[in-house]
Amino acid sequence: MLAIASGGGHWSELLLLRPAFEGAEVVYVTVRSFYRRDVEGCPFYAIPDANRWNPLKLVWLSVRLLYILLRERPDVIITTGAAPGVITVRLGRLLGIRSCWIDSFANVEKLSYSGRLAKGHVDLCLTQWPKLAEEEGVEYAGSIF
Amino acid sequence: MIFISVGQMLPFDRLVHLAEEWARLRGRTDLFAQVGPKGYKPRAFPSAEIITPAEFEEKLQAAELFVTHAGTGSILAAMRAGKRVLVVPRRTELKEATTDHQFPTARHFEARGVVKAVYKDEDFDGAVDWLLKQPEPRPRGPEPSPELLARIRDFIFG
Repeated sequence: MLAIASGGGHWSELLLLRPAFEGAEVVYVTVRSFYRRDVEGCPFYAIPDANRWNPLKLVWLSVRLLYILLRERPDVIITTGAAPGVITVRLGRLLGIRSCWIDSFANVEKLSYSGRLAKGHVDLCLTQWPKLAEEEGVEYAGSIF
Repeated sequence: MIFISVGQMLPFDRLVHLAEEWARLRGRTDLFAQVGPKGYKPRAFPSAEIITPAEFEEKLQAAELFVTHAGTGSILAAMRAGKRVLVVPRRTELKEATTDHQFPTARHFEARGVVKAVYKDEDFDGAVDWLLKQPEPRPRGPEPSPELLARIRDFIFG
C-alpha cells in the first residue's frame, strides 16, 4: 500500500494510523525529507509541497506522483490529505488503485476543501466527526485522537 | 507555576486577560504566558509572544496547570506531558479564529476526560481553582479509536 500525507497535522495523523497497516508493505510519501526518520526501514519518498495557490508546482507534483505510482504499483492508497493526497487518489483511480481518504480531525464544521475534491474519487471517505458523516454523505468510524 | 499558551498562530487576548484577572484575585505571580504575535502582554507576570519548541516543552514540564486554547497541538502536548489542562475555545464572533472548530474540539477532549473546558468567561476562575485541586493525570498519547483502525484495516486487506 501507499500512505501519503502533506506536512504537520496531516503527517502526524497518518503516523497514528500505523497500527492499521500492520502486515502490509507500506511505501510512505510526504513533503519533508526529515520525516523519513519517523518511518525508518520503510520505503520513503519526499515530494514537493504544493497547494491550490501554486498551480505550476501542482503540475510538477502530479508528474512526480505519477512516477511513484507507476514505479511502486500499490494495491491500496491511504491518505490524510491534503493536495498531494487529492492528486494521488485521482491518479490512482485512473490506474485502477483502490483508495481511502481520511479527512483531518481539524475539519469539524465541514469536510476539508481537499476532502471535497477527493470524495467522489475514492472507495472509502472517512470523517472523524459523526455530525459530518450525515451532512456530507461520508462515513464515520471513530477518530484518531 | 501556571503556563498559559495561545498557540503560535494568532493572539488570544481574552484568555490572557482572564488569566491575569485570576492571578490578581488570588495574589499569584508565578505564571508565564506565551501570548502570540502582537498579543496582549500581562503586567502581573512574565510573557513572550512566541517561544521555541524547547522552551515550550520546558515550561510545560514545570507547570502545575496548563491553560490554553482548544487547539489539538496544545492539547496533545499536555496529554503527553501528563498535565492538568484548562482550555478556552476561540470564538469567531470575537475574531479569535476563522471558524468555531475549537468548540467541538473542546467537547471531544472534555468527554474523554483530557481537558476541563470553559465556555463562558465567568466560569474561568472557578474552573482554575477546581482544576488545581485535581490529581495530575498520567502521561498518555493520543488513542485512535479501535473501530477506526479496524475499518481502515478491513479496507486495506478486504
